[in-house]
Amino acid sequence: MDKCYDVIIIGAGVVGSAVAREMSRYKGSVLLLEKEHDVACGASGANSGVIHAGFNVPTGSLKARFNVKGAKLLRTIAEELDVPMKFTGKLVVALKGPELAQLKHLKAQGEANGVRGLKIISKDELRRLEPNIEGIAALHSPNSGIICPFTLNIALAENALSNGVDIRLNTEVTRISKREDHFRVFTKKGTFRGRYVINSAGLMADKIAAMVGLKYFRVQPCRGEYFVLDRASSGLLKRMVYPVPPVRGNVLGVHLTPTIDGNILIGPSAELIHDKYDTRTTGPGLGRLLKEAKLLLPALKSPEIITSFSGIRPKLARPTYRGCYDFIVKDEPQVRGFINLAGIESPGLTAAVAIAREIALSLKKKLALKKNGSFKYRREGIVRVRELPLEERASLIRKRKEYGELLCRCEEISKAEIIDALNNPLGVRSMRGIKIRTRAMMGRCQGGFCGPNIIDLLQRKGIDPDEINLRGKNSCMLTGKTK
Amino acid sequence: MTAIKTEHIDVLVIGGGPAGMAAAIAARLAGARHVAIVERGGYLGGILNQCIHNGFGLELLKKDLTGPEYAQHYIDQVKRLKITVMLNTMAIDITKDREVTLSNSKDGLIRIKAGAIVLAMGCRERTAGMLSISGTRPAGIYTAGVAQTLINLKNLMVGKRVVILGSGDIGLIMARRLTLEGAKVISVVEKSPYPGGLLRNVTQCLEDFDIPLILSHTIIEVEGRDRLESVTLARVDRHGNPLKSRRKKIKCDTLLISAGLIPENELSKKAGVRIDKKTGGPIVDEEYHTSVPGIFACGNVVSVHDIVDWASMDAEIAGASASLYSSKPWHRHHALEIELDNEISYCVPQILRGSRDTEVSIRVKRPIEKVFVGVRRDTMLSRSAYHEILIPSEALRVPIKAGAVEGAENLSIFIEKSSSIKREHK
Amino acid sequence: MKRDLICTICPLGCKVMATYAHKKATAICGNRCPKGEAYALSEIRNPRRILTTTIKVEGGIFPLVSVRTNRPISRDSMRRVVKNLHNTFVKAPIEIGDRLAHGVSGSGSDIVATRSIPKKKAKP
Repeated sequence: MDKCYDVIIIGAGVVGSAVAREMSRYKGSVLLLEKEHDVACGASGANSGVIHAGFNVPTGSLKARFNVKGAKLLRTIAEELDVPMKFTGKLVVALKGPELAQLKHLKAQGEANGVRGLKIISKDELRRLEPNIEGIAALHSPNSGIICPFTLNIALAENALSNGVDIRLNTEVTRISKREDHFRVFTKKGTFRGRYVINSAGLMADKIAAMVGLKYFRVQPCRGEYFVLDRASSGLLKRMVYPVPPVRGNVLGVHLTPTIDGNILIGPSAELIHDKYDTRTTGPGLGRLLKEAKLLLPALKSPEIITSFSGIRPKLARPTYRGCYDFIVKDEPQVRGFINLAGIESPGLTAAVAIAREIALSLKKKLALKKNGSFKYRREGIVRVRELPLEERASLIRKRKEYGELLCRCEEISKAEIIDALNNPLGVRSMRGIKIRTRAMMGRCQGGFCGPNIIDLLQRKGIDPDEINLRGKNSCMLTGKTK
Repeated sequence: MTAIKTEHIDVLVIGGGPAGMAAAIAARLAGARHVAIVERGGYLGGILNQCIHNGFGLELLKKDLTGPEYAQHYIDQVKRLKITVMLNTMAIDITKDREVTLSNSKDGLIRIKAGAIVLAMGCRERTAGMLSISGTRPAGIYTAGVAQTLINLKNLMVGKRVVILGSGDIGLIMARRLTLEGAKVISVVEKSPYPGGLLRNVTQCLEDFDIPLILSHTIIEVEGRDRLESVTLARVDRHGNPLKSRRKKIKCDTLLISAGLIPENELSKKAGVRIDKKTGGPIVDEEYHTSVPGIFACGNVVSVHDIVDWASMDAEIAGASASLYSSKPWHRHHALEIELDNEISYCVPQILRGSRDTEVSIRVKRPIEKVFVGVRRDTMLSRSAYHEILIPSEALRVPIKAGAVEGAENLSIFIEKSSSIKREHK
Repeated sequence: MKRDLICTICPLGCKVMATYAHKKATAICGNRCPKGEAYALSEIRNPRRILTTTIKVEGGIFPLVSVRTNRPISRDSMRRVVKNLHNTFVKAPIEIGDRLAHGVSGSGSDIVATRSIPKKKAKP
């Protein structure tokens, strides 16, 4: 009989990848399964990229616990795994009198959750911090930050891989059967056995749970649309700016987020939808975003939009903790060995590593695993030449010439970076794969200049023109050769 | 020891397309000794190499050339005049003191101190992302120019059933190109009530091949999870807003966007060059001198030209002026801002100093028929010419003598219906 | 019969109105130069175009060479000519102006390279 893994993780979003990485600290065999062609294909790759401090979530909830802990852990983990991160601070802005009470409530809630440094600031102070922002007062959170969500997810998965975790992409789970002391996980690419199964399938978590008979929760997809502004707009604000959370919808409201790469995100909207794959943007949705953003930032008269996108929150259909749509982090008593990590929407990106650490620790005990003595806690990412001081950049080019040839003009990405992305350890060969690993094609020309050059490099790597894809094998870019 | 070497150059031209080459050649011919062209791509000629169709050079060279042939005409001169060419080289920074940082794989980073700089970076295409079309984000959505690169230079086919949004020239040209290469071009969709490209391209690229041009329509939605599956077409009202009724879904696997070009001025902005909001390019005088002394600009980086000949012609002035400036920087006269009639969306040059006779290129906001276009100096009418029709897709060049600028307090370009101007003449 | 044409000889794009019967023009107006008249006559009789396309290159630094017909060919033969060239290939080096195919449209037109394609250097 084939090998029985200690742990099989379903879903290589940020939660699944974090669990894989934390598990690789121990001498156990771990398999990470992902139905898409790459990691970060769901909500993990389409969100605001915010490190939440933890004042938005109700005291006592799992969200609060993992958020506050996760924000602390991320500081170390991002450093270890070479993930760009910045603690810019955040402002929650009251636009009118009645909202002041909400600021006070958020502050009190944050403090009860253990968030430090929260302060309610006056209109003058707000103006001083963010001259372009409207508002009568604001809650200032200095310990909120931004992180590149793609890089975090990729880094966790790559680090897990280099520490011995098996990762299988394009491998969709179709059925799970529970045996006496293990599970059989059926996929379109074979069957795997595992003593423990971790369900971190995001939007599909309810489907996976139902495969072992657990039907107590349902994932309700909630779409959020975003606009991305050109880096040229980066002067408009320095830190994240949120409105007071809307009363309904259990979301944070349309906010302005400076990204780690200097763009500004406007969004997300919140719309309950039926189809979990329906990542379309809608005319009305996008229109509302601009309208709401202008309330906070009136200077946004003719925004330099470079693109729009939408992400889908894996929201739970019903609240689980005092009216809060809390995370489900649960070792299921009815199905021994099955662990649900579900409903991990915002602040999931921040919380992921904290959840993962806790799960890994408990599994270590249950499986009586020894420490992995050769655990590599560091991962080196692709060098970002644009961010280097010029002298350093010049000497780097002398060592490797391809750092000197810039293929992507808008984001200043060198040929070396793109080649490194092409040779990524996970073996992803899609255009999106290169995009989220380097930012090439993500700038204002959206691949107008570098796109064809990247297609050249893919061909040189031996990929046929009709196999070159945007994101996975069905999304072909080309229909072969002209002649 | 510093890792970055510094070089001195008389005239540095950024961009090796038609404007850049013409500027470099003119600079050299005007006496500049060391002229260099920096080109980010692997060859000179820029976008001309993928514009394999003919129609280039009719105005300036009095020949009907294809894009590559037009480029070759200039490449030959660049070689003959021993102009330094740095290929696969990107300018990553530029200061107002004319210090440029370049990056390439051969020399790493190089710092250039230039006597004068000519900006000739051209333009980029408006993308599908910028248009914020609703829907999914499948493969199969390209800008017309990217499709042109792939098909004409890289031998790669973008799709089989194609809809083209926008009737800009590249879109029209690609409709023909795709048809000849065996794809089915279902239609070209244009939001305006009139085509965006040159009329001859409408004739030769669409009518010749029975490709429908659907005016006053736009695409409001794209569908397809992996590869594009369909687009939804909607009629627009007078303000360009899609109407609720009269929508139609078209099955296709490819959407090309040809919805305008944007001058690439991120570098110019780093040097502090003032940008005209309407053109998206630097504000220039008749020497194509920007607001920063010693930095000139020409071609599509200034404003998008209808035909390459005019880009080359402007570039020659910019190059010659840059050469002069590099040997003997001059103090600039007071500039007069050209005032524009309400019907005109922009003009280039935007300001005049009276240093030379010039042609000011103007573009109207909407088509207007039977008009006089004239120049008014203070209260005096100095010149006017009759035009049967003016359309936004074809700029008009209005000659203005240096003498008209000197001593003037106010200079304006006006457009008047032929009936009203006759009265003024009386 | 009457036909409104846009003269494509130069970028001016004159609106030329041609009145004709049995492929013979009876009146032509709207053109701003004699070229416009010639254009209208030819459009009525047998529209001709310069054809531009590409041909596959073997051993060149680029996979394709851009080409044109050395004189205008009948508009209706354009697709056929391109189709016939589909499987043709030429070997690098190619010089701009090289004749790459002869008599393609049955009317003695040649296919001429519009760009030079140097030979690809052999890998050491």
